Amino acid sequence: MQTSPSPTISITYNDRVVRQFMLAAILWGVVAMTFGAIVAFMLNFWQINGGIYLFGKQWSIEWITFGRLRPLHTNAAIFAFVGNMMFAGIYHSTQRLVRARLASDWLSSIHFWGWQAIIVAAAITLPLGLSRGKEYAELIWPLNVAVTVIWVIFAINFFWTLARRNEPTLYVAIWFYIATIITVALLYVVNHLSLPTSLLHSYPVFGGVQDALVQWWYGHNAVAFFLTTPILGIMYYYVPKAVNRPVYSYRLSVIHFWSLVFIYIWAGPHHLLNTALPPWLQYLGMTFSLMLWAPSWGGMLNGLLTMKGAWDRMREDPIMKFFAVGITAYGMATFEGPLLAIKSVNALGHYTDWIIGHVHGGTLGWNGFMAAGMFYWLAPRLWNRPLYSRSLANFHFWIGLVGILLYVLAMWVSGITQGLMLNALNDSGTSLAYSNFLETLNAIRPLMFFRAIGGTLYLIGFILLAYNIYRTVTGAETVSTTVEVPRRTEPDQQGFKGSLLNPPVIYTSLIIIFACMWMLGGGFFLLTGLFGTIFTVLLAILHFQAGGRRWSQWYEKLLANSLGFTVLTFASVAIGGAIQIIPTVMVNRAANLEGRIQRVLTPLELAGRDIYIAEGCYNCHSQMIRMLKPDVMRYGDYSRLGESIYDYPFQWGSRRIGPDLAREGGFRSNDWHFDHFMDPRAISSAGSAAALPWMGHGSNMPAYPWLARKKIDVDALPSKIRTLRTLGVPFPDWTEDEIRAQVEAQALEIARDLQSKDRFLEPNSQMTAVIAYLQQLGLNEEVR
Amino acid sequence: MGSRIQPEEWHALIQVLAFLLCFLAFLYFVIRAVLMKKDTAGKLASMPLDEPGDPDKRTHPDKEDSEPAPPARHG
Ligand code: HEC
Repeated sequence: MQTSPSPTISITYNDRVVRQFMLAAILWGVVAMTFGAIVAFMLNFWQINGGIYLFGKQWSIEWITFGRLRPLHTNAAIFAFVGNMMFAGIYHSTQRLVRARLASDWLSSIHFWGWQAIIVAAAITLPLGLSRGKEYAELIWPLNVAVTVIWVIFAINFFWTLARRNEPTLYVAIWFYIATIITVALLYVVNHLSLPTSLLHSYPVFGGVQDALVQWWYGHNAVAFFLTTPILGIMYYYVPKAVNRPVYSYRLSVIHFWSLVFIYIWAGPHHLLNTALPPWLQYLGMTFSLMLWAPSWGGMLNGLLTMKGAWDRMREDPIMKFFAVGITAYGMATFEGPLLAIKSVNALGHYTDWIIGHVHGGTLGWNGFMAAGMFYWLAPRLWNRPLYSRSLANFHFWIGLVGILLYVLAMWVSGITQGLMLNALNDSGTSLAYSNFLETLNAIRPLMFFRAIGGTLYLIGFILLAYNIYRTVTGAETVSTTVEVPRRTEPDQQGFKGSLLNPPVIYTSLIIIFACMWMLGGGFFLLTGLFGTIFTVLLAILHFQAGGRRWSQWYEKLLANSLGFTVLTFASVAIGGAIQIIPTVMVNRAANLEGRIQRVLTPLELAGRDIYIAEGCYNCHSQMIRMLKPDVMRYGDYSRLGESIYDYPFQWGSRRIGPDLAREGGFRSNDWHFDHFMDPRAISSAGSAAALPWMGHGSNMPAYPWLARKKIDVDALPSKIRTLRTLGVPFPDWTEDEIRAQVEAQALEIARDLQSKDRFLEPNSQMTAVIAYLQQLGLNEEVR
Repeated sequence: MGSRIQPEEWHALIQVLAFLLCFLAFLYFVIRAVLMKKDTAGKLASMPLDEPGDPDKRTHPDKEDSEPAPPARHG
């Protein structure tokens, strides 16, 4: 590709938006990690959970409970910290790899400010208890729309830049970015499909087991395509830059890419091991998770070997250290993931801190350290000034590393300890060894404490980074690199139209359309789809043979053609996703009730359920009793699929900081719940004394006194019930007055019952609603 | 618990077909990657380094264990 003396053009990169995203990432990184440390300490010290303990009294503050702030922490870490970091890296490296300025300054600015506005809105709405109640998808629907719009703007800006590139070849990092943009859009949209009931509230269109499947398809692949692929692209660009050596093996990087795109999406079922997918798909998921070891480790070795030959610089250079440990953490997390995908391991680790440890190995080690390496590398170049202090950066590295190790080790021990204790039976095997849940919680309090310390050390390191970068950039003049590059004379393959209207793309699209008709349709559609698919495949084969063309040419063309490449990536990801989702959405409902169907809620109970979601109770409580002996002995009969069929969204949960509540109904009296909400520690037996009681002891559930004070939003109920009816929940066709009357009657009943036990609660308070909701958990009807 | 959902029969067929399709495409891409020409791979591997006007650009250290660095694209 030696250039003949072709005309050159001068390009000034848009580095302004890169600087903006980088500074935003650092700011939000500090915020996200600070909230992480706060919610971690909350689990040890109830005194700061849902209020502040001062002068011998708990001053309750509803905005700062674990249930409301944990979503703030996760969303900030994923979307604000990693999101901004990824945009900085993508915009910076893409401009250089394709030798073109970002297509539109205007779109870049909207992208930046729009994303920050969303983050601010999230930081306000989540503590207010405005939540969709699905993990990492909590933001309310107007914000979902905003995220989608901004993401589309990002995509337009990115692909438009590719279209204007002066470098025909697309480097592998760009592939990873394309896969990120396409896949995240798909995942996000599907998992956020909702029907609004008001400006601030909506119900997801999927419920029960379907919602669970959609949610974890999203959850798993969000890790793959939001936290992994963009950072891999960043690794394939910045590691060679930092060590000034080419990628160790480009072939390996290509294989790494295709295995993520083609196989990762199929490994998703490992999150649903003990749930609902057809067994062959589960085993496929498990097998492919195990297979992913190879390419993931290939990727890790590729990164590390690229650094080989520059090891001698490791001692001095903080950037090298961050990259080396970041890449190693990627390898460790992708080793641990498949391990947790093994059914028996999963039975122990699921719902415990082990999963939290696994996630943080990835986020703190891989995302956080890659980000730090990138920031330290970028700052001097974007501000044209050496880094303020290299030794401070080295110190950041060491304190961060100790933080990660402390965190991950503590969570391993904690998860395994609690898992074993919860599953332990007495010698006779007929009763639980630790029947009081709090005994298992007390046992892990010291470990949770070490975790919080580990997280705080990591946070301190990151604050040092913020300071270091701050000192580097204040007063420095910003630079925007200008380069002379040969103008690209040949048009972008076949241009926009040509890229879309070339045979491979047309055939692929036709096959997808026909296959969908075949899968989804009945009668005419089914037949058309079936024959259409077969016919198109044959036609494609004939076409290529007749033209004397070879598939390899197609392939080469495809890789140099960003649009065709994008379509291919989309097709592969969409097929992998559709195969997991569609069957469960279409699944024969009656056959999957397992003999029981959930009882439809009363209006008061529905109000209570929405409060349960708004308060984020699902962050500590599951509602899914697994088919495991200890689970059944502790919480009752295992949960049938029909028992959550009307749950929009599903409430199976992912972590049991408190006990499972699937069969809580009727287990306690109303006054017990009242007392428990007012002060969990006054009523729940603290269990055996912890080894180090000052690290927290007894229940860590926040008190919820405001539930007794705040009123039920009865006016919102008719619209909510109407929406749920649209979604298929068989609520009777109540009038607004009927709804109101039912709420009043049931609430009064609960208030009277409490009064007879000398407890006073306004009937229209939120607490009556939540008690009503809790008291029906597990109610169902037999069906045949 | 794995077999708790009962999909209708055609689901299984579609899934197997779709999966085979994806897997074959994947194999094809892997083979293409493995058979990539050495100098092409070498060129591609040093794309990040091969930047016009890059202040970091130094002469490229020779590697004994991987593809040779490409000639500079541009003056
Ligand atoms: C910080 C985690 C946490 C949050 C948030 C939380 N809980 Fe709890 N919950 C616990 C723990 C731990 C226990 C066990 C100790 C106890 O009884 O207090 C518990 C116990 C319970 C119990 C008693 C179960 C039983 O019968 O023994 C109920 C009911 C309950 N929680 C309901 C809720 C509701 C409703 C919310 C939301 C408004 C909520 N919890 C939020 C941690 C939490």
